[in-house]
Amino acid sequence: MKLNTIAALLLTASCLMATAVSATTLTVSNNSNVIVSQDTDWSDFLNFQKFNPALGTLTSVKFELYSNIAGSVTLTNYNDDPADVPVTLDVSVFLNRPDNSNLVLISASLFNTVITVPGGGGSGGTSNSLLAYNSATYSGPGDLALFSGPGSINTLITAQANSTVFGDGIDVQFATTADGYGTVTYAYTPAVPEPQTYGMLLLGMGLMGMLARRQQSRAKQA
Amino acid sequence: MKNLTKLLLAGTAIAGSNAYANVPTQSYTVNSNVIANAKGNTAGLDFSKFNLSLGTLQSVQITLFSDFNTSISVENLSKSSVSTITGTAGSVLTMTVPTLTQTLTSGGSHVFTEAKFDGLSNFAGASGAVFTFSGAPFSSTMSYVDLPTLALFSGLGNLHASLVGTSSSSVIGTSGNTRSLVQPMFDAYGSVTYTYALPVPEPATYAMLAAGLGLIGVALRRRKSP
Repeated sequence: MKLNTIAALLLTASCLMATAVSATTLTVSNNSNVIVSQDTDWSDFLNFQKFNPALGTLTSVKFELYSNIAGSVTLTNYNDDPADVPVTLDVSVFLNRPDNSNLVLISASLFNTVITVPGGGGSGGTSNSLLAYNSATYSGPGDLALFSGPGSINTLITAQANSTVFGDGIDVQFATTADGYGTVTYAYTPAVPEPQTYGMLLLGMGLMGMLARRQQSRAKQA
Repeated sequence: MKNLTKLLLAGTAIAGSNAYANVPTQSYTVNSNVIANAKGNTAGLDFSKFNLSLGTLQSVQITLFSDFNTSISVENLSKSSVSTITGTAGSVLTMTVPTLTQTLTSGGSHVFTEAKFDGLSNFAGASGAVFTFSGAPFSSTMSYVDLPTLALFSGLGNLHASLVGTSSSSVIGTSGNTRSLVQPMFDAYGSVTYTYALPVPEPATYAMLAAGLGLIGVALRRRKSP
């Protein structure tokens, strides 16, 4: 009777362990270095800690890219008459793999507007700043292999701005800056115990059961 | 006598073929005044009209010209990178007389590649430059044969054509740290070529010619006969 109870306990315990292990996906996040704000255009490297394979099986890699971008335009109208001046300023931030293929792309518009500037040397302008963000998740075998292993990996980050202005006789001055940083999040399945490990567990429990029986029978004899 | 008749016939035949088969045409060209700076509303262009005593006006060919000398000044202000700056500039001249409107579009674009900011925002040095459009004038030519236009351009004195010059430009910069200034500069002038038919003698004139020649013939015969 007692033996049966022990065996049932053992079975349920091992079942529980097995189900719990296969359902769990854990994540680990690492922040990159920060590229300080500077005039666009620039290129630099974001360094990400790779995934430690000892933790388990990597299932996906998520990149989050951030950039604080700021831009302005200043206009001086040398015409006699007032002018309506269309201006646009856009910033793109690319995060690329070492082979230069794109991981994450941020496309942000700082402004796209028409500024009325008084004539005869009058001035006008506009400015804007924002935190631009985008993310992308990869689970292909190439990326899982690329971002696994010891140490860290450098990814190329590039910030580019594009300005347009329409209008004659107008002194136009654009200024744009951007910084950049990112976070990588690795999703993985924790290491699952090998069949041998379960064997050892069963063996150990079996031994304990035997010991308990022997103690019981000794107690009866005594 | 036979020779004289032959001469008369030949003369009439030549005159006839000229009058009815090939109307002789001639042309001449007049130039307008030059408007040195044609941006905005201008004083207009004046063309000397066709002199009707020369013949019959058949066509008016108008050519508008513009020397396009707009300049584009740029400076890359980025301390981080080179900048590619594309400047595009253009002008439109619109000439109007009561019977027609003719336009001329001029312009072009230039691509600058400027190094990192050299510290001086002066449209010069390593990070700045000025480009001025130059070269042959832009032109547009149209021919008109409609009667109202022919009438308008005929007579004494000048025909005044109003002229409006507008300009447009754009500057596209990579790096988002650029300074630019487009200074429009283009002139305007025109020419008109009048093509006309020479006056053709009336049939009555030929009759007079024939009568005159006949009288000469008669006179010659009378001298010979005595």
